[in-house]
Amino acid sequence: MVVYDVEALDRDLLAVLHRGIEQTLDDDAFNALALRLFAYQYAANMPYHKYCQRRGQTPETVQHWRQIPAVPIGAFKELTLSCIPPEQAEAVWMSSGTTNPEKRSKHYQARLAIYNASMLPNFAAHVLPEAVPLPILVLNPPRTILPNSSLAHYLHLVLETFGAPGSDFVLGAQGLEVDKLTEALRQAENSGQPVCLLGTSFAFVHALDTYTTRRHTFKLPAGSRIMDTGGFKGQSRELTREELYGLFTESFGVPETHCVNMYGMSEFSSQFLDNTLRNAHQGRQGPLAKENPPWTRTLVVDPETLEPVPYGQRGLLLHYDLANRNSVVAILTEDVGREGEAGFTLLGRAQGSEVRGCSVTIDEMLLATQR
Amino acid sequence: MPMAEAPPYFFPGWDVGTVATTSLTFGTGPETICLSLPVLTPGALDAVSQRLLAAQAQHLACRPITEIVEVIDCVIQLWLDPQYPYRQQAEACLPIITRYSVPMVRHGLDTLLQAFRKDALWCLLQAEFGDPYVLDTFRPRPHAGGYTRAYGPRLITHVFSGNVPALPAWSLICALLVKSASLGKSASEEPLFAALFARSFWDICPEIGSCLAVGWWKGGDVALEAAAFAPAEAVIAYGSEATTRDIQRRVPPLARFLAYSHKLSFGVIGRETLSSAEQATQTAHQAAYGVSMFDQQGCVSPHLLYVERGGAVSPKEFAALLAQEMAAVHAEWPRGALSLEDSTAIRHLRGTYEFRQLNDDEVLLFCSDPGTAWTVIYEDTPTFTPSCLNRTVRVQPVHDMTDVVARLGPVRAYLQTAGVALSPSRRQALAEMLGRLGVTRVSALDRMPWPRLTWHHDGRCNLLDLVHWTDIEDAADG
Repeated sequence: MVVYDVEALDRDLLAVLHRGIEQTLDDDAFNALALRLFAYQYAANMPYHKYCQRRGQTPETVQHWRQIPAVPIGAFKELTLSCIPPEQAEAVWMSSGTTNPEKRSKHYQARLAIYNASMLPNFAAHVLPEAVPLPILVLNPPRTILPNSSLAHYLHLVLETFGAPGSDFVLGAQGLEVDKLTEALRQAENSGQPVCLLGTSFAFVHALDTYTTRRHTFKLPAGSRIMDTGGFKGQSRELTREELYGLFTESFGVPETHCVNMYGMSEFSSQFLDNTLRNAHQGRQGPLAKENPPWTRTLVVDPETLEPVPYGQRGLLLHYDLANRNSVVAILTEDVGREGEAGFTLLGRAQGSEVRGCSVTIDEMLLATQR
Repeated sequence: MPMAEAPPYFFPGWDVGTVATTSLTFGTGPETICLSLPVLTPGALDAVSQRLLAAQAQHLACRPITEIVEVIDCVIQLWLDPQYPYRQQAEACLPIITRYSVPMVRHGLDTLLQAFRKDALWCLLQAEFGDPYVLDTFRPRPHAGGYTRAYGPRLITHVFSGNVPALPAWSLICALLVKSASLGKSASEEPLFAALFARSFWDICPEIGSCLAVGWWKGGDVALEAAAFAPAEAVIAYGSEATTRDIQRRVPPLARFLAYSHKLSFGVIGRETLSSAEQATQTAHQAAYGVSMFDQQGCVSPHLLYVERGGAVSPKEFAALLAQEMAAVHAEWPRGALSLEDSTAIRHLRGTYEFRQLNDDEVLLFCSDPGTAWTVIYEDTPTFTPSCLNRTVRVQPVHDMTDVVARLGPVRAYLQTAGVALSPSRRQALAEMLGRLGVTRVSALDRMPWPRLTWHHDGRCNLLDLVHWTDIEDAADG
């Protein structure tokens, strides 16, 4: 096997990440690093090696990052996609596995420093563009409760890095700690100190429902903001973005310009955040989009051909994430989106398609067997 | 942009010119069809139903069955003529509406409609009634004595599904055979065929044509469906279990309700049909054809094939042959274009198996490249996993054909067609077991897509389930 200079690779990768998100990474530089990562992953990640070999796509034939073989996201549930022995990983992220708990995807992080170096500047630029620490209230269990959750790690690190005094977790093993949250929000109202609320979309719905039942609304100080993440899959209630952000304004007094959705998955080491707050901060007008940090690229592809769709059309999102150093750079998601001027828009999961056949569908079967 | 010549609805005796319209759009880019449809109201549907009831009493109730069969045959002959304008319209529009390929639509229309020729209709009538003239008059009742006569419902409301074009013909023809008027609710996915087909009757025989009406509304509209179901003496619904159950709740208690809901079909291939490469190739071709028709969207389409070990050709080798034949079928009847969601489902299923086979010799994946036209997955597992369809089929090895009984146990409630490649005696033996399990049809693999008209559809009678009987008891009997 080729002995690979991983240290040099990590050094160059970290250098790119440390430049932050304001400096673009031109396509040549992105390409060079992506191809080095691909060569490394091809050499060190055995299932991926075989996968590429079967397709005849190897470091010898792949000339451009777009040609790097993409792994369908479900592969993380089938096999260990890691360049190092899994037991040497500093962390392993597992998917929440709502559909089939036995088949959870596992994403091994060789060096958390890389993950952290990707997430922190990206979060800061999109949620705290003023670079002023705020009290952060996290509507998600702490890392101690969810040790294999990438989101728990993410929120923990955010709180630790950017949280002003008063920051806290308001959701624990017993669920949402309503009194604690209420007290914190009331204190923000009284003191005029803006706060930052972070959590899963569904945790927010739960909080909103609670306050609606109690006919309790808050008028959080200007500058307060909310970042939500994740969808509503498998939950009893689903809201559109408009509905959820409408409720944020109604119940918390946080305008839509200060609401940011974060799109991330345990299979990736970078996230994609809405440009809303960043635009508001820079006084820019522009269409809503998720922005790619410089060390990522997103293609919108036709699942039939895996070729990019014409600009502006719906397609599947195929992300290239250089921070995915220990697994694979290119992953084909099941998420539908559209390319736009400022980034891409996320339109949802490519699931639950209209039943055309009169055959029993997998979903119907699952329902039937659960009965 | 092809213009629809005949409108996608049919309401004889009702001038819809002044009625508000809504539209359904299909296709993308230059290949777009926009169907304009009248917005129906409960009042309008009620008026349509009253006209249908009057027409049925006047033109259908007393019409001899022979005449009805002749008219149906006449209409079918027109539809089998490639030059027939409605047929041409269907051939031009259905590929865009349904996304089936042009050759698939053509082949599907031909094969399905062929099944409704005169001889087959008489076969069906005889198979179910013995003496079809019980539909015309009181006839002596063999074995029982006395006389008897069968009456169909005056009006049947049909709720069609859109997966297989031309399937509404089956429902409408059955209704005509028992002298019922029909109000058809066409499917959002394919609202055209039923209307064109009904219109053909009007052109050939306006009296019978006046007993048919076809329109569209969004399924589940409680007010409209209350109006559509109230005057009906029978309701026939096609759709998912959830849909048909919902409809059933709203059908008036005295009306008959027949539901054809979603089903699972599968194939069983015996080692005796794998005794040589040549024979196995032929079997694989029949299986590929059975899987591929209507892109596997029919309830009769197999999700997976059980293949017996012990033949000269192993189940694994059979999977490879099947892949080759799937490609051949695709070359003749290409798979249709898929929605983003459907392509994604295939893409991700393939991805999963591409990785699974790296670590497991008992997993093999064969697939079309670059597109998703067909996929064959070989896996040695006892679990029945339904296919994501659109020509995605699993091959699972079994030691003996009788093993399938236990494997199908968990899904027995849904079972329908078993396509088999077995010697006659083994077929009989397996059918005994499958019948007990709930399977309602055992056919050859390549006949799976095309059930005989006389098939007990989902285990029931097509015509007998619709009629009621009136008996005259002989004085001597008393």
